[in-house]
Order: sequence, then structure tokens, then C-alpha cells
Amino acid sequence: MKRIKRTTQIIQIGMILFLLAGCAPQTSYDNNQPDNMLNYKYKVGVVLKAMDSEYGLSLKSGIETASEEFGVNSIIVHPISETDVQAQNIMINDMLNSDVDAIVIMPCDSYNTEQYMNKAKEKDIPVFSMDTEMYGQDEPYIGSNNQEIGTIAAEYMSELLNGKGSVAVLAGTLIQSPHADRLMGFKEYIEAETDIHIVYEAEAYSSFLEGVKKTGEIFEMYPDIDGIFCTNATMALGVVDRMEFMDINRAIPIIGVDTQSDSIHKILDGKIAGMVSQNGYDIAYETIGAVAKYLNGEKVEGNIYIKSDLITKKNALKYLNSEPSIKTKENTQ
Amino acid sequence: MKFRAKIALTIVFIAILISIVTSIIYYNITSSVTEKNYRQSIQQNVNNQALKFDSLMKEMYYASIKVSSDPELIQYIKEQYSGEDKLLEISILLHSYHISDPNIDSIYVYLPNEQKVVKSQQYKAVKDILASEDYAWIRKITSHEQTVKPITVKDEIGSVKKYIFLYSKPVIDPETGKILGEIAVNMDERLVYFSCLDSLNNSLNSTTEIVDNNIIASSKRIANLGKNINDMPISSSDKREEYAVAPFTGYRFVSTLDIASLTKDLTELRDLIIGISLITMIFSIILAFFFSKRLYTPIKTLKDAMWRLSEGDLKARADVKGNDEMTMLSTRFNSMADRIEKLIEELVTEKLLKKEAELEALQHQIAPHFMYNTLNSIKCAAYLQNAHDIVKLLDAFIDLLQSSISKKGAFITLKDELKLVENYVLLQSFRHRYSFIVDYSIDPNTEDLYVPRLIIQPLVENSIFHGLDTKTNRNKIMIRSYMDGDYVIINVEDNGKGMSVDELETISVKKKVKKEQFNHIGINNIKERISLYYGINGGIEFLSNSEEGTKITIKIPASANQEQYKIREDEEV
Repeated sequence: MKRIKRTTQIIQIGMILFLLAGCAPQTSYDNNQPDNMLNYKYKVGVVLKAMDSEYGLSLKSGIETASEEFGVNSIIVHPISETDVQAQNIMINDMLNSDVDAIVIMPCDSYNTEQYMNKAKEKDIPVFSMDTEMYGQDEPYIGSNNQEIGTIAAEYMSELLNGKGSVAVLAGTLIQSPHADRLMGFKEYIEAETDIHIVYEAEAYSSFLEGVKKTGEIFEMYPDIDGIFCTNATMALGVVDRMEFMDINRAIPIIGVDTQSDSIHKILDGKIAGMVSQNGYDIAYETIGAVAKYLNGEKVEGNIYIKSDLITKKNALKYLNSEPSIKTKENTQ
Repeated sequence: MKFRAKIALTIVFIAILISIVTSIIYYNITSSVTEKNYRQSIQQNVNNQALKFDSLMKEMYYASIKVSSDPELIQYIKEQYSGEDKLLEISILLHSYHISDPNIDSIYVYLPNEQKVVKSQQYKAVKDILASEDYAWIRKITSHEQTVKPITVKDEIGSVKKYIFLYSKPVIDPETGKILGEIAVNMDERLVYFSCLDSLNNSLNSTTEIVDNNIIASSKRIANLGKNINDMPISSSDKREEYAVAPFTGYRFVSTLDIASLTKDLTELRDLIIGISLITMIFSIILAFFFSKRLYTPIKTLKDAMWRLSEGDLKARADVKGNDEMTMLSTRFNSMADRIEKLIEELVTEKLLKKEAELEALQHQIAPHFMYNTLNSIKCAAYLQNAHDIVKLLDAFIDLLQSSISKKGAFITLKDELKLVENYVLLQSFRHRYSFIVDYSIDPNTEDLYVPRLIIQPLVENSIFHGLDTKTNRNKIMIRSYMDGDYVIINVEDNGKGMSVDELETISVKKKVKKEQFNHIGINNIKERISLYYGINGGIEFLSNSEEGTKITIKIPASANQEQYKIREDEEV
């Protein structure tokens, strides 16, 4: 009897060991396929304006993060500068030929979009505009409400100048909707609600250098100017740089646009009065999210606006510390 | 199954089980983990290299757009078409782009109106195209769609024929929208290989190739370029797997993995373990056999001894060696066998003695029949001569003889025994001239009890032969019997001269004496028979001195059953 029990025990141990041996390959293989570049659901072409600002980099960061999250292969191309409309058109054209499921365009020119838009329709490729709208097209737009940005800037300017005085405006290229819309929003409010006069208005092509040049011009023409509004951050930085160079210490409020750390630092330094936030990371993330949603068969209707706020010395630190684009950028690099 | 075989088999089974299970588990776990890590490592590296490939190509792509839309180039081409010779200027412009990016191998401009290709190299900077179909790139210009993907062709325009990745872009007059020509920004396939694949191939025991539509675009072996990867043979142990698609260009990275060499060490290790366990197994069998034999030997010895004993060999004993439980068992067995042997020996001796005693009793009864006949004849003669005394004597004698040699059992009633004594006394009285008298005092309760045959007569005989004082007539022999509880006591007493110490000893000592002392045999015979029949329950006692004669007392258990104390079944009744 005892011997039978012992034999049974040995058989049981043997069976357990064999089971373990049998289990081993099943548990340790095949269940964890490493990340690879084969299992994307969609291929999305993204044609940006340029990659020469922190804003552009934060857009790229948002695209990459969202792409990974939504299983989208986003191919990003961009011309050297955002004035290079022809190169961008070639890229959009090439992208439409490259078997993409959708295309996201941040047009350098909001007006002349017909050629590639027709091609996209022909090829049945859905087009989304990001940051910059296309005039005369019904593509879904994801970005800031730029007219509202202009209004926010105007309200703050009016508040700082007590509703009177003279201001200058430096805009980016006005063939791009954000600059045109911001300018329009700013002007409409100033003209309707205040006694402020816009004495100077020029395109500085979103460029630091142009900002510098135009600032010289402004102070030459209007040495008593009370405030300057720039439709993006790079130009505002150019203004500050020039004013420092010219040793102008008078308190002239400068207001810019974009959530960009270098200009927020200038707010903390007191060089820039305020910035209207435009978070590139959030815009890009929302865009890819919308594209993925659309490709998954869900409805994406109308435009998606990312809310903008005023950044001043009071809340600047918060933006500096919590800005997701910077963090994510650090993580991905 | 033999005990020894069981032990051996158990040990061997466990040894096999442990070694096989261990090696299987070890091999499976380790090889799968290794393979997984290996694949992960390849995946990681291939992903990185695919991204690197993309970024190389993206630079080329940007360069091709930049060159194709260069206003200076457009101007030169227009001037060239209008009859001026701007080929040198074009070449110098291309050269400036060429040297601005070290990854660019060459830049070409195809001028269809003049059937010329201007190259960025200074050597043989212009090539005349006689038949455009002869050149893969120029053939593709008309057919291929403008995408972000490069094309791979064999460069037939440059001085060295080699495989290149190229971006081909039309040069468009921005004013008229007319295509003026086509530029190609070329990258050497070798550069791609050494930038993106070489490190993979050198470190990971695998061969990775860049493939577009199954056509090999970049590979370690130049001979493979331009061929279909599915036509490339692989060895049976290898695995060809696609690990990445470069996201920008869409080129595929296909790796051929040498799984066998990856697990070669492990397989060797597994084989080694199995080999070692086989050797261990053989040793275990030998050891198990050896030890079990040593364990088994005392068991076998004991088993054999038991077998022999049970078959009746009382001398069978187990050899005792060592100091373990088996030794204890053997020792115990041996002492048990000793006891059995001794008991059986005693039993046999006892039986033999009884047999001998009976034989002696029978010998005592020997009286051939012819004696009766002779005596009867004498008796008739005496009767005819009216010698009535003699007739009487002869009657008694014949009676005595008859009951002496009667075969009617070893036990008779006390009454019959006394009758026998009376006849004997009558004969002896005649012989001794009536010099003694016999007095009977018999308890009637004892008359029907059974006593061993011829138990009183020898005592009377002893009294007559030893106790009679022939000089007087007052010799008297008294025979008494009475009950003492469950016992019968029989006394034979005389008032004769008694027995000397020597005589007492002679009759007391159990001794096998021959017939010359018939009466002594009688007394001894009685003693032995009482002891044999009744054991400690019976007894005989002698009391004698020179003055008062001899008194012999027999004490035996009262029995009304003739067969109660019978010894043998075959004893006649």
C-alpha cells in the first residue's frame, strides 16, 4: 500500500515537471511582439510650413506622439521656409502620389490651393488643414480661432494703453490665414471699441530678421509709438531684440502670439507684455486624432478650435512649466 | 519482480527523469528567451536603421526639390534653349549643390530639347543621349509618378556603372508652367549600404537587405542588387522575415536570420546535458545493481534458510554478517530454528523411550503357547494320577501365564491384576512351602479402576525374593488399595529382612539392565511405566529397613476408562 502511494507521488512529480517543460515555450514566446513599423493602420502625409521655430517643433512633437497613440504612420515634410510656396506645392503633389490615406496640410498659401485640392478630390484623399486654413475650401480645419486671438490681443492692448494711443502691427505673410485673421480680429476690436489708432501695419513674414528690420522702420517713422502687436512670437522676439539694440527703455507694450518658451521668458523679464497662447503640440495632437477618427469611419464635422488664452507675467511661469510640447520633445529625443 | 530490480529501476527512472526534464526545461526557456531577445534586438536595430535610411532619403528629396526649383538653373536652361551655351554654368551650379551635401553622389540635369545630360561632376560633364530608351532613368521620367519615394536604377550615365537611389524632379518654368527638363539627385547604393545595413549585418548574425517591390535595392552583395528577393535561396535553417517598412519612403527591410547558429551553443549544451545524464544513468544502473546486490544478499540467505527449514531441514541456518536489521532478523531466525530443533528432538526421544518401555513389557510377557499345551498335558497326567494339588498348581500357573502374555491392552482392572497376583502367590507359596501368607485389604471402590498391567505382581515378587525370611513362618505380605481423593494408592508391604542401600539404589536408578536380574527389571519397568503413563501425576515410593521389611507405595490417578492413559492409537485394546 505504502509502495503504491510512493509510486503515485513519483508519477505526480514527473507529470508536474513535464507540464512545466511543456508550458515553458508557450509562456515565453510569441506573446510580446516587439514594436515594429509594419503594423500601422493608416499612412498620413503631413506637409508643414517650415521647421524653423519652436512652434514648428512642437507641432512635430504633437504629430509624433499622436501618431504612435493612434497607430498612424505620419510622414512629415516641409519646405525650408514658410514662404517657399512652390516647394510646398511640389511636396503636397508628391505626397498625394504616395499612397497616403489622408493628408494634413499646413499651407504656406491659404489662397492658391485649388490645384492640389482638386487632385486630392480626384484621388479621393481626405484633406485636413492644420494651424492654417484654406480659403474657399471646405476641408476640416484644426487650430486656433485666429480672429479671437486678434481680439484677445486687442483687448489686452487696450487695457494696457487705457483705450488710447497709437500702435503698430507686424503680421506674418498675409496669404496665410492665421496672420490675416489675427490682424483682422485685432483691427476690428481696436477700431470698434477703442480710441487707439493703428498707425503702422506691415508684413514681416513671421521672420525674426524681418521683425528686426521693421522695428527700425517703426521707430524711425513713429518714435512715440505706444504699443506693438506681432501676429507670432518670432517677430515679437525680433522687435524686442531691436528695441534693446536701440536702447529704448520706454515701457512700450509688445504683444505676440504662440506658446513658445523663449518669448515667455521675455514676459518674465518684462520685455514682452503678453502673448496669446497657441499650443502647437495640442493642435497637432488634435489634428492627428481627428484624422484617425475620420479614417476609422467616425464623423468629423466642421472646424476644431483649440482654445487660446492670454499669457502675462502673472501666469507665465505656469505655461513655462507645464507646456506639454517641451516635455514631450524632451522625452522623444 | 525482484526487490533488487525494483530498487535499480526506481533509481534509474528518477535519474532519467531529472536529467531529461532539466535539459528540456533549460533548453526551451533559454532558447526561447534568447530568440526573443535576438528578434527584439534585430527589430530595434532595423527600426533605427530604417529611420536613418528615411532621413537620408528625405535630405535627398529636399535637395531634389531645391535644385529643381532653383531660379538660376531655370534661367540657365532657358538661356541654353535659346541658343546660348550655358552647359558649363549648369554643371558648376549642380556641382555647388553636389558638394553641399556629402551624401549626394551626383546630380544630373536632362535637357530633352538638346538630348543632353549635364552632370555635377567636372569630368565628362556633358553626355549626349542618343537613344533615350537606353537609359533606365530617362525611360522612367515619362512613366513614373512624382512621389516622396526614391527610385532605384543602375546608373548608366555616370562614368562608373553602379546602382543608385535617385530622386527625379521635373524643372518647371514658373512663368509658363512648361517642363524644361528633369533633374536627378543621386545617392550611391554603397553609401546607403554602409550607412544603414553594414552595422546590422556585422553585429547580429543576420543579413538585412532593403527591398522595394521584392526587388533588392541595397544589399551586402552587389550581385544581388536589382534581383527579386524571392529568387534568392536561403538555407533551410535560416528564416527570412520582414522587420520594418521605412515610414517615409516605404522601402522594406528584410532580414535573413540564422536561428540555428543562434541556438547552436544552446543545442550543444542540451546535447551535452543529455549525454552526461546518459552516462550518469549507466553509472546509476551499475551502482544500483551493485548496491542492491549487497542489500539483497542477506535477504536471499535468510529467504533460502527459511525455505529449507519449511521443507524440513532442521539444520538450516542463515549466515549472519554485519550489524543491521537483516542481521537481527537472521539471528532471531536462527535461534528460533534452534528451539524448534531442540523441541522436535525431545519429542522424538520421548516417543522412542515409550516404545522401548512397551517392548520391555512385552518381552516380560514372552511365553510361547507350547508351554500351555505342555502344562495342560502335565495337568491331565496329574489329574489321572489323582494329584489334585498339582492340578491346582498347574491351573494357577496356566492362568498366570495366560494373563502374563495376554495382549488385551496395557491397562486392566485392579481386580484382574489382583487375580493374577493371587495365582502367582499360590505358585510361590507352593515353592516356598507355604512360609508366608498374603493379606489383601482392597477397597471395593478401587476394584474396577484401571491400572497398568503387571504393576503389583513384580512388587509381590520382589517381596518374596528379597523379603522372605525362610527361617520363620510368620512372613507376611500385605497388599492394600484405597482411594485418596482422585488417586488410587496401592501398598505392598512385607515384614521381611528389608533391602540394603545398594539394593535400593539398584532398583531406584533408571537403568537398562539385562534379563539376568528379572525382578529388578520388573521394579524398574513399573517405575518407568508409571512415569511414562502418568508423568508427574503418578509415582512410586520405596521404604525399607532391615528390621521392618519393605514398603512400596504406588500412587496413580483413579481412572475407570481403560484408554484414558493409553499412549498410542494402534495399541491393542
